[in-house]
Amino acid sequence: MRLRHRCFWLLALPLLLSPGGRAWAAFGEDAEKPRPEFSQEEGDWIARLIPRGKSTSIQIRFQAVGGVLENVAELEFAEGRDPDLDAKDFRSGFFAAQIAVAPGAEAKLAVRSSYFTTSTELWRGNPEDPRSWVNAAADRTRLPERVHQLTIALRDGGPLDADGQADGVILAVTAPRDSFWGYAIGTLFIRFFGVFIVLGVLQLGMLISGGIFKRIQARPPQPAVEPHAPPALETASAPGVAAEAAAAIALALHLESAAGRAAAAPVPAEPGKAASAWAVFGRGRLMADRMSAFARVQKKQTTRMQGTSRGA
Amino acid sequence: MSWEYVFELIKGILITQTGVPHMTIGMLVMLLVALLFLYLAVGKGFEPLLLLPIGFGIFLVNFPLVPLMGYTEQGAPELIRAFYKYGVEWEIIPCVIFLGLGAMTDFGPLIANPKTLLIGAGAQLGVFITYVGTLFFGFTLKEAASVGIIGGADGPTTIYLTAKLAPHLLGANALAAYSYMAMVPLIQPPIMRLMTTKAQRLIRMRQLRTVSAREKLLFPLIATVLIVLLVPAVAPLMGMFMFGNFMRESLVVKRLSDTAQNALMNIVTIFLGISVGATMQAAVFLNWKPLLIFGFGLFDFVVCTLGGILTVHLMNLFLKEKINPLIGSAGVSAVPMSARVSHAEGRREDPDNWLLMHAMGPNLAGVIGSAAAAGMFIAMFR
Repeated sequence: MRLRHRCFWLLALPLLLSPGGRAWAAFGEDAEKPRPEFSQEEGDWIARLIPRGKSTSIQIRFQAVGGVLENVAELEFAEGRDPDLDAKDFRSGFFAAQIAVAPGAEAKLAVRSSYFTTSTELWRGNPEDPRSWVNAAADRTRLPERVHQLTIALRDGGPLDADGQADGVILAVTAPRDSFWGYAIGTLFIRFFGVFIVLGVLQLGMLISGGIFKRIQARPPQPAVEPHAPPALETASAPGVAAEAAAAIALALHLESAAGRAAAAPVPAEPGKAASAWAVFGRGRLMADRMSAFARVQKKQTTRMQGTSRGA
Repeated sequence: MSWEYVFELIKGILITQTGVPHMTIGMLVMLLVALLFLYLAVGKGFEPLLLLPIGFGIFLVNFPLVPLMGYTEQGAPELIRAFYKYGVEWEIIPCVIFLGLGAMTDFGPLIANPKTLLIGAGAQLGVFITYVGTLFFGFTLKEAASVGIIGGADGPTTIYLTAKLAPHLLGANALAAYSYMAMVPLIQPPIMRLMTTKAQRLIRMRQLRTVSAREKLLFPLIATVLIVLLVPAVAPLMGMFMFGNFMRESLVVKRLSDTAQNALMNIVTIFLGISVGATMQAAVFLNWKPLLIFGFGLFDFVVCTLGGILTVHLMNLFLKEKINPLIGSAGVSAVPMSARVSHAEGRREDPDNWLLMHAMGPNLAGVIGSAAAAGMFIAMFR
C-alpha cells in the first residue's frame, strides 16, 4: 500500500470505527450551557443569557400578576433530569420563580422574550419528581417588536406549585422549550436552499450583465470619422524602378538632408555642446543621484587622509 | 556549601527550569503527529504552504514549559498566542488571505458561464449533511457548523467560521480541511467515476466566450452588491475577496495587487499556519473529538463531491447543451486542485477533451458558495 493510501485510511478509520450513538458524545463540560444573569426592573425579573446555539445574548422577562415576584433563579438541569428530557430542547435553560401570594390564592406568571417563536412552549416541572416535566399549555400572546408572551395560571399548593404546599409562596419551575431537532433540520433545509438562492441571484445578475456586454460587443464597430481626408498624393510611376530601390533612394536623400544628419548624429559626449539646457540639467541630476554613494565613500576617504596628514 | 545543597540546587533546576521531567506521553504523541505532517508537507508536497507551518506550530508547542501559547504574569500574550490573538481570534488573517485570493483569481471562466454558480451551491450539500450528522454525535450546534464547513474545502473560510463559533476546534478543523484539500486527487476520482457513465464523461463542452476586461472589472462590484445584500454576515470575507479582485482587474494598482497576491499573502500564511498549529497542544487535542472531526471531514468531502456531480445531472435534465458532470466535483472550492482533477479525469476518457477552464467556473463558484454557507451559519447564531 502506498503512503498516501495509508494516510487516507488512517484519517478515514475514526469514522468507520465510530458507532452511531451518543456513547461518544460525552466530551468534557457543557460549553453551551446558558448562564443567566438576573436583574429587576419595575417589579419584573429579567434574565439575560446566551442560549444554546447562539452567539448573542437575549432577555427573558418574568412578570407575576396577582402576586409579588420575589425571586427568579436558574435551576441546574441535573436537578430536574429526566431520562426522556433533552437539555438541548431547553435552549435558554430552566428557571425557578417564587411568587408571594395569600395562602391558597391564585396568580399568573408571564414569561416573554423576542427570542421565543410561535413554536416555543412553556414546560413546567418539579425538581423533586423528574417525571413531572410536561407542557404547561401556556396562553400565547403576540406583543409588538416580535415579542411572544407565554402565561400560565398558578395556585398556591396546586399542581403547578412545585413545593406543593399552600404556604403563601408559589414555586413555579418552568423552562421555555423549542424542539432542537426541529430547529436543526429546519434550518438545514432553509440555509442549504439559501445558498442556492444567493448563487442563483448572482447567476441572474451575471446573466443580465453578460447579456448587456455581449450586446455591446456585438455592435458593428463605428468607422473612424476623418473630417478632412488628406488629398491623394500624386504619384508618378517611374517605369523600371523597383519599390526597394525607391525606398533606398528616399532613405539616402533623407540622411543627406540636415534633419537626417541631426537624427543620425551621435549623442554628445560633453553635455552642453549640442544638448538643450533642460536635458543637461536632467542628466546632471541623474548622475548626482547615482554618484551619491560614491561621493560618500570619497568624502570618507578624504576626511581620513586629512586626519592622517594632520597626525603626521 | 554542602553536597546536599548542591544536589538540591541541581534537582531544583532540573525540575523547575528544564522540560525533561515534564514530558508526557501525550506530548510525545503530538510530536509524532507534528512530524507526520511535516513529512507530508516536505516529503510528499501535500499543501506544504500550510501544512509545514501548521506542523511546525504543533511541534513547537508540544514541549513542556514553553512560553509560546500562554500569557505572562502581566497578562501579555506570549509569542504565538499574540499571533493567534490578533490574527485569528480577531478574525483578521482569514480575511487578509481572502484579499490575496481575490487578487489571484481570474473570474473569467465563471463570468463566461454563470450557470456553473449553481454547481458551486450544490456542492455545499455535504456541509449541511455533516452539520446534522455531527449533531447526532453530541457536537453542539456551533461545533457542528464549524465541522460542516470543512467540506467546503476552503481553508480560510473554515478557519474564519471556526474561530468565530468553536475556537477550541480550530486546530482539528483547519488540519482536516487542509489535509483533505491536499488529498482531493485521491478522494474525488473514485466518486466521479462512480457517479458518471462513460458517455457522460465524454461530453465535450463548447468553448467559453471571451470575457472583456470591463466585464471582469464590474464583476466584483456586482457580486459584492448581491452577496452582501443577501448575506451581510459574510461581508468581511466576501468584501475582502472582491476588493482583491477589483484591484487586480482595475489594472491601475498593480503594485497593490502584486503585494496582496505575494508578499502579504505569504506573511499572513506564515502567521496563520503557526498559530493554528500551536492550538494543538496535547492537553486539549488528544481526545475523540479531533478524530471524529477527521472522520466527518472525509465524509463531508465525499458528500460535497457527490452534491456537485448530482447538481450537474439535475441541470442536464433541463439544458440543451449538456454539461460534463466531471466538472461537478470541482464545486468544492479547493482551487485549482479540484478543477485539475476534473480535467485529468476527462482526459483519461478522451485525451482531447479540455475541461480545465470549464471546471474553473464551478471551482470559483465553490469559493463563493462555501463563503455563503459560512455566512448562513454565522447569521444563524446571531
